Amino acid sequence: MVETTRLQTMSNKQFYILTGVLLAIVAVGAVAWYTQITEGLIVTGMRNIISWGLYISTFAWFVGISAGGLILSSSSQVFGIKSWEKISPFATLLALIAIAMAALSILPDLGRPDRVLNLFLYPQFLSPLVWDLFIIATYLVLSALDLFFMLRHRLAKMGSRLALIMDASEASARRDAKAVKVISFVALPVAILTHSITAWIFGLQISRPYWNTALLAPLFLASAMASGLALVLFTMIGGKRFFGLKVETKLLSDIGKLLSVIVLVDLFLLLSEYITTIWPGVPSEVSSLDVVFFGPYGYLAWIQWGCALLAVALLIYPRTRRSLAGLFSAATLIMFEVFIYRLDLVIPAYVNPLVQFPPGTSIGEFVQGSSSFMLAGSYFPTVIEWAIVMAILAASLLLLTIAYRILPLNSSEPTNSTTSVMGSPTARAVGEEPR
Amino acid sequence: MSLIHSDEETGKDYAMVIDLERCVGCHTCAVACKLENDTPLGYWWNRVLTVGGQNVDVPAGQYPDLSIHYLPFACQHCDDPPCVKVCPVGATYKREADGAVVIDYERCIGCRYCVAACPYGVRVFNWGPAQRVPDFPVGFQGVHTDKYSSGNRVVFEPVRPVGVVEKCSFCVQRIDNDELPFCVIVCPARARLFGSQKDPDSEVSKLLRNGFAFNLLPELGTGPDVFFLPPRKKGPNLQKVPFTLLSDARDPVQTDPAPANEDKGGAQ
Repeated sequence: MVETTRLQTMSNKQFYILTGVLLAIVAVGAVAWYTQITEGLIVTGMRNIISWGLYISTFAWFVGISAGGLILSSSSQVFGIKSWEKISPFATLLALIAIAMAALSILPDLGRPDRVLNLFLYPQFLSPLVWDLFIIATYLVLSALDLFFMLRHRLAKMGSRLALIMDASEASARRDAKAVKVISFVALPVAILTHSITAWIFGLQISRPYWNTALLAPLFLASAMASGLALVLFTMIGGKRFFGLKVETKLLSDIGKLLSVIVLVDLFLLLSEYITTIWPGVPSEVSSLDVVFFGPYGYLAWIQWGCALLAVALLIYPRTRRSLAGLFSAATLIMFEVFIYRLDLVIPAYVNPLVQFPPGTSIGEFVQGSSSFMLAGSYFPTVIEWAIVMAILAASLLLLTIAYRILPLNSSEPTNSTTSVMGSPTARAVGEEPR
Repeated sequence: MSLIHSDEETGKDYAMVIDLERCVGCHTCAVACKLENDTPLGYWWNRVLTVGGQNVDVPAGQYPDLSIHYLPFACQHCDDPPCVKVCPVGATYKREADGAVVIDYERCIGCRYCVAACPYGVRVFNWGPAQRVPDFPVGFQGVHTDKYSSGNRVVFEPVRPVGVVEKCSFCVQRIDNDELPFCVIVCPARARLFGSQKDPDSEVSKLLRNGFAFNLLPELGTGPDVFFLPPRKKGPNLQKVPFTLLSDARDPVQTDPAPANEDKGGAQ
């Protein structure tokens, strides 16, 4: 029986350097956000015609990548998939961090972040944004509780204060296991609802034919699970390689198999959407799809398809699926592909307004000598937007690094598998104990 | 008795009727709206769109077979406004008393979900600090600098805060003071009419009863309170306007079918 199960972390020096670099990126983002608050969203590339951009795409992407963790750990409980149970705490941690970052990435998109409490003071319950707010809050609390009950026994055994008042007895461990099971049964439908509602923010809008499809929720669910599982793979391979996370390559490659199926389902849904648009040939629908593939942002769709197909190939070909490098590349490609899909969902939908006659839409900016109108939208994120999004990414890595260091994420149960087990069974934190 | 109010009325349901036959495309309404509502440089609540060629005031087709129409365009004040449905904080709402869709500038959080949801693209976000020439309020009552509230909601202020969405409100600050929207007042061709649909004797009611009037994008079911009367002579490009002509009764004789080359310069 292994006693302590904290991950083998990097040396103190490495830890502080990494933390420092990440904090610096966060600081740059904070400065960028301060600039945006003082000068207004004029510092972004968004204008009236394309009025949502990188921030909302990032939000939808973070909601998506949080899927893998909770769905994986909940399914392991609900459907009794034992091999997944070992990676459950880790997967849940990823879900927790990702959903917190999703909530965070909404803030810079608001014109008046100082009024964000209005969402709670005057919620308007017809708005899908309000539904999303409440489901994301639920999701956040559930994944935090889930993680707590998964780790509490281990924390108690380590004597950590994070275990709160609970003891390390077997009885309380059984209570915790039961709590995890109950939470999982609630968390699974909540996770599915979270992705559906995020899709409905877009999919219910009659103003954008490209969004307005009943397939959007299934598409979001599929792409969320794809990117979420990819994130689990990505971080577990990273953890295995650099932090001594104990996880078998066999398990990773099994997740890879599942991932390829989910990506294929995602692509199938997309194709189904395309054919339903193209065959009947309703002009407004066809032109919105035409913009997606051949418009000014057409490259996004091609990159998305290219990356997705390449990743599927890597996951299907046995040699790459069984290698860490192959799995890691596929996971990276899929997370990237889904991010591109989020951009590709938001931006092209705005390019051609339904009522489009000269002079066009009033963009909301005056520059001497150039028109204040735009007939078709154009958008590219500015340095400010990139800096803020990078800061949110850095913040998520920062939280992950700190969690790696202080939480007992390795399974304390002796593994019954004889295949390669990475990391020393007595892996301990090199750094000081969090007392 | 003013045009807007009549004594019998209990509630009102404002509508604007724009006669495309009368509109000459002078853009006076668009400029007047900027004056009245103090919209900054680069912000337009009210625009006059050219239905024809690729640019403002450019007709479609080749000489001598040219055609051009104008489409004055602002908030359509829908009966079932998508913007109101999506607003997470209820900052934009349809006034029960008269049907105007307005924005509470003190409550809006600037998420721009309404901009995404509006099928007409008439909402304007305050991206940055306002630039004005001359740089002082020129609008309502000339020196109007106060916030105008309706039922404790600030629905008009000459300088809207940075980071909130704004749009045409049927000149809420005027109609509540028994005055017509400014675009209606200034229209030199009297193409714009405004009044309550609940008052059977109002000009808009009479015009709407004739059944010529049409809405923009009626298939979406938003039920706009802004109506258009079709021009008598329908140029071939009018069919590009995204509406269904409800009636040809006003012009029973169809114009000649478009020559093939007319479509070349059409708006996309």
